[in-house]
Amino acid sequence: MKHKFQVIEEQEITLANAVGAYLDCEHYVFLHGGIMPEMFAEKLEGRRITYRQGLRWGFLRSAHIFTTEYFPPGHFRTFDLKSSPKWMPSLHHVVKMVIDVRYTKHPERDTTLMQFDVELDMPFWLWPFRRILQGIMERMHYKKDQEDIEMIQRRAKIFGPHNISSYLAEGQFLLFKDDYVRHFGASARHSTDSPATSAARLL
Amino acid sequence: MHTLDLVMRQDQDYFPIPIEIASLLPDQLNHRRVSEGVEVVVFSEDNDRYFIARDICPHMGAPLAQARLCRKTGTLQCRWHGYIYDSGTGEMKENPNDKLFTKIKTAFQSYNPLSTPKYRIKRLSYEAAEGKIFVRRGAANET
Ligand code: FES
Ligand SMILES: [Fe+2]
Repeated sequence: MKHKFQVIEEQEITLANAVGAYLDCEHYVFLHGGIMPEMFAEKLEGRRITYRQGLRWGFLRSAHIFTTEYFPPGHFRTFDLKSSPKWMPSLHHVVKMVIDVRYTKHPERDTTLMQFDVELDMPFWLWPFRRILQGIMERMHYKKDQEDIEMIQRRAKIFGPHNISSYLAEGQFLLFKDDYVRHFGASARHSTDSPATSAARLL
Repeated sequence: MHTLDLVMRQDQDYFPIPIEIASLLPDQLNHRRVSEGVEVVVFSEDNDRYFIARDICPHMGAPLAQARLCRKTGTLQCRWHGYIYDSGTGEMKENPNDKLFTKIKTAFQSYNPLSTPKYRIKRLSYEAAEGKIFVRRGAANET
């Protein structure tokens, strides 16, 4: 039985920053350590990356493997979630999840529309718990987004809202950086300062 | 140096709000405002010396006030990307993501580990007198 839900939210950050933050995988386990204390990238195939991720659900800990595919410029699909190791009891044995996160520019303002779509394919005996599952997923997603937005807005305050030079900097690792540069590089033409340089100037 | 001397020089050389030494919690990062819109992190080292820096990570600007200070390893770890800095020199020591993403980092042609900038948290110089720390303005200086 399929349960679908959607969250759409306007975020007070630019599209280039929202997508850049998603591709900036170096922050995942540090900024979001409360919900994903461990994460290893296992495999890259085209625009698909397979991760092994440790999770915390209150006092409980579990791990799972999943794949995220990037559809430039701002769409990420997560699917094929499995427990790790395979014999470990997990919801993933009985519920199939497909999670789509889409970032688009707000049609009127310089903000970002974040669209979170989830499809849960579950057995009938789990159906009565679908809203609980939905609530947990929405809360986790919201918490993660808030952590990102807090940092991005702070950086925007210091270096300017359109300054994405830290993502474009040669030494900065970004997933699918070539795609990112192709789609968002032009928006940074007027802000070529590196944050490190600007920070130094602030001192 | 006497406080009065410092007060006289404060406008040009020092940020206007001194840090009360007695208010600093030991063995942890203290977050203080030293002027309108200027915040610093400070912790006491041995021998009445203080590590003071702007509350801005040189990587992408995260608040260093949220960093993790480890006295045992002598490191500061930023909350955003987990970069580890030497809490004495401020030099970046390690990017722990190199281990977490080894398998795929090298798979991207755009990745060039040799081009990573040498990030460094710049220590601010100061004068301590009569229970107060006066943080120097201007370019970061070594203490
Ligand atoms: S902002 Fe501090 S490590 Fe990235
Ligand atoms: Fe994030």
